[in-house]
This record gives sequence, C-alpha cells and structure tokens, in this order.
Amino acid sequence: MTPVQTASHPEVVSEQVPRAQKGWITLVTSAEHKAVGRMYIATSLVFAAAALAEFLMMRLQLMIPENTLIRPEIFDRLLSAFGVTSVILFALPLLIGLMSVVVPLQIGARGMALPRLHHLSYWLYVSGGALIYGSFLYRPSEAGILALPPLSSSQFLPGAAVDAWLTGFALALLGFIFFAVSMIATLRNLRAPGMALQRMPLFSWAAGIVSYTQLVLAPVFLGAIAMLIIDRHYGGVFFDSGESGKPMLFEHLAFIFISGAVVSLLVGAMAAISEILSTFSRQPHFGHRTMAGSLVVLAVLAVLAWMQNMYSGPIPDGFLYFAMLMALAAIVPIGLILFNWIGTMTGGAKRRGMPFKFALGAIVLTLIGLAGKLVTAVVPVGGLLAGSAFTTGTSFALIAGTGVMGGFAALYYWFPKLSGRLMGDALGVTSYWLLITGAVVYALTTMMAGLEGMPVDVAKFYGDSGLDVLNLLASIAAIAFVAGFMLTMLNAAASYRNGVEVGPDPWLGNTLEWFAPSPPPVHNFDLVPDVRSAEPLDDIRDAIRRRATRWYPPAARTEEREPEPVAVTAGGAEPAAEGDAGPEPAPEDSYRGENDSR
Amino acid sequence: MPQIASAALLAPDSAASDGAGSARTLYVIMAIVAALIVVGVLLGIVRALRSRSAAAEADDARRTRGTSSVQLRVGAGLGVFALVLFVVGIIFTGKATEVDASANDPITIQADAQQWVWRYTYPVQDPSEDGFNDDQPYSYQELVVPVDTPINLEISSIDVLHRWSVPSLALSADAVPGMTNEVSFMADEPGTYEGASTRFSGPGYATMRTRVIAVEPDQYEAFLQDRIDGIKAAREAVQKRVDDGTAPGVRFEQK
Repeated sequence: MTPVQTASHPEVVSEQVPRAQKGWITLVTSAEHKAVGRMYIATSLVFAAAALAEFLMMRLQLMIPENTLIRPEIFDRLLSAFGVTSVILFALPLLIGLMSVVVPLQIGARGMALPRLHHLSYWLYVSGGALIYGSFLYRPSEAGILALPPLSSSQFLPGAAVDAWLTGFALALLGFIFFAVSMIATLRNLRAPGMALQRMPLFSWAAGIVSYTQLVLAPVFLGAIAMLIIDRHYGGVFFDSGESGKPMLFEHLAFIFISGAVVSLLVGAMAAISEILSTFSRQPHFGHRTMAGSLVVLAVLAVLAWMQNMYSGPIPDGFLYFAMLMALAAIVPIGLILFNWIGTMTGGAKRRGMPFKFALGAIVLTLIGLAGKLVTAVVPVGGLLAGSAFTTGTSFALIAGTGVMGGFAALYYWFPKLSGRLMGDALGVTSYWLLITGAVVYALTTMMAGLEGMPVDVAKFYGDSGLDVLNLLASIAAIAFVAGFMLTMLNAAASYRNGVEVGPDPWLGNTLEWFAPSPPPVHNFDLVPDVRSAEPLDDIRDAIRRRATRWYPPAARTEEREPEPVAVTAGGAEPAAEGDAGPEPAPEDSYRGENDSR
Repeated sequence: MPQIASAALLAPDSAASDGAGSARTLYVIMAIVAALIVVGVLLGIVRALRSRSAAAEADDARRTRGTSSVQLRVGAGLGVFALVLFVVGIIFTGKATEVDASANDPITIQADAQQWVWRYTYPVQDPSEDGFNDDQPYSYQELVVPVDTPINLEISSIDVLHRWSVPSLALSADAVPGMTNEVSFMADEPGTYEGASTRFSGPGYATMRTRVIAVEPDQYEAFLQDRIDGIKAAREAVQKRVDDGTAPGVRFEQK
C-alpha cells in the first residue's frame, strides 16, 4: 500500500504535490470502496471479539449445572448483546465489507457508485455498534436476543438500556440500507463493457440479492423499532395488549427481518463458496444460470417462510401451512446449488488451499444447520421443539457455517485484494480444525440437549435434568471454536503486513478481480477488458495461449517474434509480460498444445 | 417407529399421549431423512473430490457444464420431494393436534403464565348456589390431570411472552398477553411429565419450570376436593382473624 494515493480520481491540475497523509487518516476518511470495505471487515472482527467474549462467558456459566458464576441479570445482558453482535455487528458487516472490496473489482468498475453514501453507511454501522456497547458503561439491555415486547416495554424494562439497544440496532440497519442503495447503483450502472447480468460473477450477483433483501427488509424492522420506541416513550399502544395492541406484531416483524438477515448470510456464503470451488477445481460453474436463479428463489422463499420460527404461536393452521410450504420449497434451490457444487468439482483439477478448505468446512457446517432447519420446518416437529436448544444448535450451525466459516473462506480467498498478501497456512490449518471440530460438536451437543429438554437462552440448567454431560461437551467445544476463531483473526492481523506477497492472480481465478493488481490501485484497473463470457479471465488466458502457440515459420521463430502486446496479458499498473515470474504461470507451461476445444 | 431412537439422545423423550407420539414419530422420520440427505451430499462431495486429478490441471478441454435438462430434472425431483414432505407434514399436524373424542368428557383448564410461574385454574366441579366462583381450585407450577380424558389447556399470559412446553404430552404453545392459545392432549398413563417455559422472559426465566402429573380420575377428584377444602379452610381462617380483629390492618379500619 502506498501512502501517497490520496485522491480518488486522477489529479489533472495541481499547484503542488499533495501532502502525504498518514496511512490511517487516509483509510478513515477515504470514500474509496476498498478502504471502506477494509474498515467494515476490521470493525466486524473487532465486534466479533466482543461476541466471542460474551459467548465464552455464557458457555462457562452453562458448563456445570446450577452454576452461580454469572448472575441471571448479567447473563441476560450478555445474551442481549451477543444476539445483535453476532449477526448484525459481525457476520453481516463482514460480508458487506468483502462485497465492498470485491464486487467493484469483479464487475470491472473503478469504484462504487455513490461512494459518500457507502462511506456514510460504514459510519452509521459503527455508531450503532458503539451505542449498543456504550450502554455497557452504565447498564446494558436485558431484553433478550430479539427484545420482544412486552418484556422490552417501559413497564418491564424502563431504563435507557433498551433504548440504546434499539437505537444502535436502527443505526446499523440504516447503514445497511445505504450500503444497499450504493451497491445496487454500482451493480446496475458500473459494469464493464460486455458484462451482461447473466455474465456477472455469482458473488456480485449475491451482493445484489443481499442488497435488495436489506433494502426491502431492514425498513420492516426499523418500523418495528420506531413503534416500540413510540410505545416506550410517547404513549403508543402498538404492542400493548391491555390497550388493544398486539404483542405478536413485533415478533412477526422481527422474524421477517431476521429471516432476511440469515438468508443474506446464506446467499453470500453460498456464492463465495461457488466461486472458490470453481477456481480450485479449474472448472467453470456447472450451471451458472441455475445457481444465480436458485440464489434469488432461495432468498424469496426463506423470507416468506418467516413463520417457521413461530409454530407455537396462536396462529391459525393455514398460515402455518403456508410457512411450512415455503420452508420446504426452499429444498429445491438449496438442493440445486448443492448439486451444482458437486458438478463443478467433478473431474476438475486437484488444487488445495486454505480458501478451499474453509469452503468445504462451511459446506459441512451449513449442511448440518440446514438439515436441522428441515427437521423443524414441518409444523408438528417445529411445535414440539419450539424454544428448545435444538433450535439454538441449528441456528448456530447455520450462522457459524455461513457467517464464520463461509466468511473466513471468502476472507482467505480475497485477502490478496485487501493487502497484496496471502494469509498464513500454518495458523490457518490450526484455526480451521479448531473451528470445524468445535462448531460441529457444539451444534450437535446443543441439538441433543434440546431434545432432552434444555430450553433456549437459559441462564442455568438443573442437575436433575440429565443435561450435565451434553452441556459440558458443548462448553468445551465452544472454547475450541472461540480459539479457532481467534487464530484466524490473529492470522489476518499478522498477514496484513507480513504475509507472503503475491501477484494479481494467485489462485488462477476466472473473474475480473484477478485482473487487477494485488492490492489494486485506487482506480482499480488501468484498462478494463471487454467481457465476453462469465469467465473473462479464462478468455484472456485463452487469447494469450493462442498467441503463444501461433504458428511461425521455423526461420522466424527465434528472432522475429515480437513481444506480446501489453493489453491482453495482465492489467493494472505493472504490465506483466508473459514470462513474468509471478504466480500466474507462464503460458508456455500450462497451455501446451492446441486444445482449444471449447 | 418411536422405539427406534428412544434409547439414544437423538430423539425427544418418549411420548405419553397420542398427539405427542405422532409429533415424535414425524421427528424420527424427518431426522432420518435429514441425516440421509447430509450423508448423501457429503458422499457426493467426497466422490467429486476424488474425481479431481492433477492431470486435469493442464487439460483445458475438461470443462463440464450441466445442461438445462439435467438441471430441470434435478429441480423437478427436488420439488416432488418437497411436496411429499409437505403432505406428510399436514397429515401429521392433524394427528398431533387431534384428541380422541370418544373418551371421557373433556376438561378445560386455564393456564396463566406470569414472571416466573404457571398458574393452573381448574373448572368448578360444584358451583355454589349463587354461582360465585371463589371456590375454583387452582395450583401453581404443577398441573394435575386425569388420564384418558381430553384436556384443553387455554394458555395465556398476564405480563410478558412465555411458552408452555411439556414435550412428552403436547406441542409447545406460546403464552401471549391478551390472546388465548389452545392446546389439547390426553395423557395415556399416570406419571409425572417435566416441562418448562421455553421463551425468554427475564432474569427468573431459567427457574420457570412446570410439571404435569397424570393421575387416575378418582385421584383427580380427590385432588380437586383437597384443593377446594384447602382454599376454603384458608379463607375461613382469614375471615376468623378478620372477625377477631387480629388480622393485620383490620384493627385500623375498625377504629
């Protein structure tokens, strides 16, 4: 990273050389999409550390029966903060940060559309998180993961804690809405020439889905928060059952939004996994259009199935059947995506790497979560297990599989575009095994504890309920998971400055972000190539290969062959010749022979 | 079917009512289906991983893409599978919530949740002459029901959200202030069935457990009579102290 790149556009006239600013000032004040994305990622990992601390404390409390380590009030505060931190302050912003960095590169844009709005979205998210954690200075919310009224009403929790929680949540949501607007404008207007929508890389496609999901659903929960604040302070009766209000309304609105948030994670992680599997098998997507369509359908169905979380509520059967139908219909897009993953890998090249490892781990963990959701998607089983720790286990597997493992796979994969370096393998492998073992054991033991009668969110369990062994195992697994998580955070921090430097395309990717140098300059590309398929970089390699293997008369072969034109070999500031010693192998090595049979 | 997994930790405790039994059977079916799917997908992934080869690295010709007819066929298969599960789900929902009407007369019991205790109010067996319901027996935490009798629980809450959950007997039901949520079940055998409130409700939430005790009908009558007598005795004792002027606060009013 060169510290002098302060302007987001080329300076045409300058009376003096711009003063070099300190690196962090540039980072904090820049509306450049990679700087904002980096800050999103770094901040999300800071909040992740807070979530891990809360998770660890709660699991220590639940390690032995009738533990008195943490008082119930404190436990409830940890629980309330953990719920919002894990999804809203960590998992979603990590995904948003990765999308901020990668998507403009992937679609061949020189930046985000509406960069100031994008920048503002980051600061709104940070202020939301700061507000929620600022309430730890006096007394944080005790209203639970979703702050459902009447418990969160002024009658039961009159303090300012719930207000801070609600307002912080709302600020973060407002940030996500602004991000969505900026991202949608980017995707619609700034694609490279020739990049039709069906040629857009899947991760960028997923960024569109996530953005539309947030744009439509974040206002739903913003509305609910506004109503609750009116109830709390201005005599509103939206959720006051004594005044013909409906407490169930908040639950519906909350679950509509939460379904959208979780499916955003799922869609983003699935798209990232698809790209990684394709790159590490050196095959195009088995069915690009099918996957793109499936991701859209999955997002719609998962949101429409929000009532699958409310099978125990006083809701008429017809609505529950509708939720069940939507939830079960999601089998089709999910199954198609799994099928296409297998198709992409079959018969491909055998490549290994940390991103591939994490992608496989993400698939395993997400699969466990989805299987658990499938079991509870049918009304009687969902009703039987409502509120049991079975749902904790499945939600954990789903969110950790997509947000943590999927997010980390994407982080390992696109880290060169963040820093120009790779993340270390040694820490990565240790972190991977701790994460996957811890997560799978934690998810399974928690699900079993739920079957044995352990309720969700409890601050303690009783010794007579036969849950000792399961909870002890879950706590140990949770410690392993936390350790693995911290190792990857450590790895990212250490590799940011000291990792192995790599060239533009360390993995031989198929999409345009690997055309830009690592790390990309402020303007991303010196030259944006024409896009003719969903795998533009493969086309470029093909062109190089055709030139390299062009027939020359024997006499001319040695002396008259001219150097290749720079434009097609590699983009960015450093025009690499074909014999470049970078990680992109010289065409002579990889593409021997004329097998252009596509 | 329910016996298959009962020994392991892989299914809820064995059921003591037809409805919970159906739900549990469906759980076992769904768990087996889900486990088969997970194992099948993992095997597919392992097979795909094995089919990858170093030779394919340089071989650019190996580029397989699925045809749209393959995708359509897989999608249609998955759709049929989802529809089958949907129909099974609807059939079992009926089974899990219906109660055999041929048995004894149903009893309607009110269950009111509050932070952090359940109050069960039993129907009046022997209303007094003026129809005054002060003699209505009630109990906290423990619900006593007769076996082989359909029980309709009318669940509500007087403060925040709660959830009544006794998995051996019935599906869980939310207690929502201002609304009534009905649950019907019929206990097959006498016994004690543990349950809990499974919705976060504040600091005392973890202690909010409940218990259903199924007894023979004559024992149930005796229990009700015992409660009625106890309540009467307590009221008479209070009345006596009021009359004597020894009850706290009473002397002040008499002045």
